[in-house]
Amino acid sequence: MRQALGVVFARAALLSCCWAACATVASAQTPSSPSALPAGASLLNPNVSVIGWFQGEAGDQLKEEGTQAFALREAELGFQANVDPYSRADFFIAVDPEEGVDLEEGYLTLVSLPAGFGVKVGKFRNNFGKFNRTHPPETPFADRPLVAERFFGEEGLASMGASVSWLAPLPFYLNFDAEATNTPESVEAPAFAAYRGRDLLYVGRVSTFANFGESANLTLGVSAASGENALSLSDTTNAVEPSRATVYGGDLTFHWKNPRRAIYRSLLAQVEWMERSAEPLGGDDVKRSGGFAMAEYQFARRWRAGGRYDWSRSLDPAVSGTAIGALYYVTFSPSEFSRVSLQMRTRDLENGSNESRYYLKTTFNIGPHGAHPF
Amino acid sequence: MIRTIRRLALWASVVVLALKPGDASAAKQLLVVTTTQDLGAIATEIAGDRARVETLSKGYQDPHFVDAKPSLLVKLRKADLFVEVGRDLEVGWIPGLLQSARNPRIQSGGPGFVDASTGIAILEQGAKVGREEGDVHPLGNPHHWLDPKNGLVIAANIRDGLARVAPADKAYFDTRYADFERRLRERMAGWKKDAESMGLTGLKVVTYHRSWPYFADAFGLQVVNYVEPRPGVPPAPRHIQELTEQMKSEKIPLLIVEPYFDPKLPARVAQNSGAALVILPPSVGATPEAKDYFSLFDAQLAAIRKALAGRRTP
Repeated sequence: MRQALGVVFARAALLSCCWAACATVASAQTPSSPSALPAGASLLNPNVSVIGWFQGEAGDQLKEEGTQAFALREAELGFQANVDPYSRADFFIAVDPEEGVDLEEGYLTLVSLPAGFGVKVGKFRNNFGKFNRTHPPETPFADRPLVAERFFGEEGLASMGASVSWLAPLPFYLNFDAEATNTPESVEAPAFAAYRGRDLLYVGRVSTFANFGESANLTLGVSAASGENALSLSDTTNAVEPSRATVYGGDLTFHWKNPRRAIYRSLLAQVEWMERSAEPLGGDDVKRSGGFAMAEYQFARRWRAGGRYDWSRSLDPAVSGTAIGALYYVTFSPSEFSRVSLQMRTRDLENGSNESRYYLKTTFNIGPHGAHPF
Repeated sequence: MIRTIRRLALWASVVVLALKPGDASAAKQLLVVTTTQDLGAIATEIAGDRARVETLSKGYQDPHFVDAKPSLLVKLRKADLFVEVGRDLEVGWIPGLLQSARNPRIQSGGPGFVDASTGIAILEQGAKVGREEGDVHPLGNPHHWLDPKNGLVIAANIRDGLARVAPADKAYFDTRYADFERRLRERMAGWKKDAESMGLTGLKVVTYHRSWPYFADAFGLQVVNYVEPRPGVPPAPRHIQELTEQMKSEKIPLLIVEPYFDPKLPARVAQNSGAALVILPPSVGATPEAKDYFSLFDAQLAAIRKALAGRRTP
């Protein structure tokens, strides 16, 4: 399954989201083997998968907002295949009642470049931090961390453009990513605001990885994203002055899993922090930061329990103070391909209000066997 | 004159041929990366001193569930030859790693890509495939290395792969393959005799996972049921009860478990049914005794012999 949701968001350690297609194609290229494979054309169809995300929510605020208790949050359709010997294509189409049909990601990856380079073009989730790369149904959470929601919006930072990555020829893992994409609208990613689509969003990330024995390992990454920030300058004079907002981020992930008992116990802990620096009209540089820390323990073959602590300042310079929040969850996976998670979230906002919410997140996958998470 | 030229040409080619192996050994050693230690052991037999062989997982790991750690990318990036078990065994971790490896040589279809299952008579193909059956392999059972005769096919696939990436050493790989084939055939005859002397022919056994059909084929065992009938889905209590009853009534003497599964439940089934539990190394490296492809089968047969003897003289 493409997403054992329990630890899946860490999967972004690898540059790719999806890969079931490769293996099928590889196996299909074994003409000499005596075979009962399905014949002919269907082997050339892309791998098709669907992830359903059904969610129940409860809480006092929801009644005021008039939100319905149960909703199909998203159905995510994936189409993945090799295009030719040089490239592969991945499309993810999200269908949800609010936004309708949306191309969540759709990109071409060149897999046969020399010297450790990789190139991706199309629409994709920007490689900022670790959490941002994971598709919402596949994160372990029913919501998004407060800082991710405030900086990069409900769906996370995703845009159209090109990405180059380079894996350094060293005896350890050191990877560099550089992306140039359209700056998203502020309603999509509040940290930035596109103005007539003039200036691009530039994202860079450096990540490294170290094993500590065969059971434990650490992933460390630093990221930066700089994009257009038109809201701070177009209000009064309508004068077009160049202004940019920059977000810096750091992430640290710890994994533990005994490879001799891989399917029974594991631990994942992660901290992610980011700071946005932007210049409001006629004012001084405003820095706003936030982050989250999470830990998840798999205590039985099909059970995981986890928690997340959130803190974040508002991007609005007029708001002072820091909002904090906490999420607790227990997840049961009947098989590798489905899971049910009971979650509780509390938040204390800057204005002194607090809220509690309860979630029942259910996700299920149909289609070919995809990647296990790392 | 023509004769002289011919003679010179002949001498020149002799000199070139004589120099060539020297050149090849002076050249950089190949890097062969295999997904499992079984493939690594066979690759070492064929590649000899022409290659350094590294494996991405250990024999005591469940090959379905290996973490796609970024450190594995570092090995794949430099690999000249990549060998996988195939048949979707590694579908959860290899396709993504290959895609991120930035190494065009070892991509599926590239000269340095070897699917070890090519040419093997794959079992359980065309069986009913659907997720209601658990995490099944639509391309047939991938545990093919557990029949030593398939080891020859794997070795031939690796030999052909090596010859593709290092054509100058083709003769060397051919010779090593021939030597491996001779030794393996010799041992196969011995193992067969051992298995017969232990009474394995037609012996009914139960296994934890569907890892053993090739092994059963090779040594005459008859796998009649599984502790986990639907791969990846923990067994229901009712199945365990029925299994225990079946093992009692059919007097099934042996329950085979892979070392990476929790032995508590199968141990209880074995105890309640009077069968002997044997934790069998499914791969090279799974136990210290299974050092290479030959000692893997030695270790397996020794473990079964011990388990059966322990049962007969309690």
